[in-house]
Amino acid sequence: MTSSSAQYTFSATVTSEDGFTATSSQPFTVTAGGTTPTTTGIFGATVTDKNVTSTIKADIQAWEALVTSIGCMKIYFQNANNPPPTSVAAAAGNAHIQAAWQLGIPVILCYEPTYSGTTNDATWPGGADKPAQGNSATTGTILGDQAQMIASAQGLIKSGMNVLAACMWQEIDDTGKHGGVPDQYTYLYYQNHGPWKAALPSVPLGIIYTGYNNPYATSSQLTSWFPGPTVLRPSDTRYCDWVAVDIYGNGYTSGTRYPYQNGPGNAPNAGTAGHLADMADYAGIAFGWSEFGNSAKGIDPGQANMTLMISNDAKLTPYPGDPVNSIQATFAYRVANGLPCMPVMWYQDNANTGGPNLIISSGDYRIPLLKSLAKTLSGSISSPGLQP
Amino acid sequence: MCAPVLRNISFDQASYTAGQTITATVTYTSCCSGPFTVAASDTGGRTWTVTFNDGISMATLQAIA
Repeated sequence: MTSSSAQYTFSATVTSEDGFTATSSQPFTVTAGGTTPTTTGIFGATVTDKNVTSTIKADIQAWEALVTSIGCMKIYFQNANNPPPTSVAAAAGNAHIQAAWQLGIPVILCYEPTYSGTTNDATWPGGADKPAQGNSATTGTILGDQAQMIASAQGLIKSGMNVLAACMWQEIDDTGKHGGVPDQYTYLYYQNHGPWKAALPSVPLGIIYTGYNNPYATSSQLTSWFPGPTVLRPSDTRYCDWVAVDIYGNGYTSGTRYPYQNGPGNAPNAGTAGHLADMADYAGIAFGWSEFGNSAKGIDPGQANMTLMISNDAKLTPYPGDPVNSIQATFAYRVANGLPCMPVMWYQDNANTGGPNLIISSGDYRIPLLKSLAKTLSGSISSPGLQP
Repeated sequence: MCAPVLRNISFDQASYTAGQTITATVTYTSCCSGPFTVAASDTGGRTWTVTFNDGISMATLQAIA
């Protein structure tokens, strides 16, 4: 663990072409003597609206005024945004990037490579011959996509964005998002993780699952998308730095989509690893909750169940509605035990008028629950160097 | 006369561990269009490198903590 810290003063001077200057200073802190990453976690939210992008910045500020400041948000790259922008200026058409930059909100970049991966590689499951990998100038190849993703992240960082983390695709176990099979997806991480980390050592590359379409009970399916060791495949090499999941209230209350199979701190049953916080702990990487709300598309579970999901930290009780797996209990456990955390992020789509995830009035019952959750995580905000 | 006004300095993290890269963002304004140059130092004697400068309103600088 770290041992001591010191505060320094940073001074910057701006000089005009004809020699006039302006100088200002700002303190910063450096902790000395330790290389062990600190436990990390940030409370965030993704406030989006595909229909009225001109108001995104105001929408985010309105949510922050009602609930709490946003420590992280997702940036979704759709096909229309590929190749991704390589600077904030070049991202003029992406209102979410612009808003995050203007408001100083850290981001998780979700890339969509044009190449879906391969099963045709003798060194990877499912194939016989290693294919040509293209080159950095050729879109549609692994090396072409890789060069674009790295250039994108580096460019956005140089523009002043705080790029907290990145992933390829997202909600990956919803096969419609990737369009391929698990071996193709894990192959992308096998090929890209090393070069990405060499180019961007402070930007961990991870994976986002969905808790909606594939219940955790189908553990072999979830582990098949994971490029790292699991209890089902303990000898696999790790090619990712974190894992997160999108689970909404309707999925959580089903009783099968919990981060821990037997509650935090209890080992999963032998042969099953479909619970993602169990998977993260087994692989020794960070776990996050990258989207949550009342419902992605199903039935609103209501206030009582949302309270259980967000904040209840009572002892383990039988399924369904297991409060020991609440978001607050899960992350309080992780923070207390030094387990690395990725952000916990509310999801609000303002394009979904009247939707169950909209928090737009000060009397909303979820506001105090989210404030409490943010407080749980507030002491753990730190660097993006998440992996042990 | 074209005097700049330095508006804000921000860091990409709340604190740093020794050996990490520090990224500082400096924003400024002026009545003219520039260009402006930006330089920095700190009380710990680190070497700060300008990694981006649009010449008009902002620059980012990096150093090793």
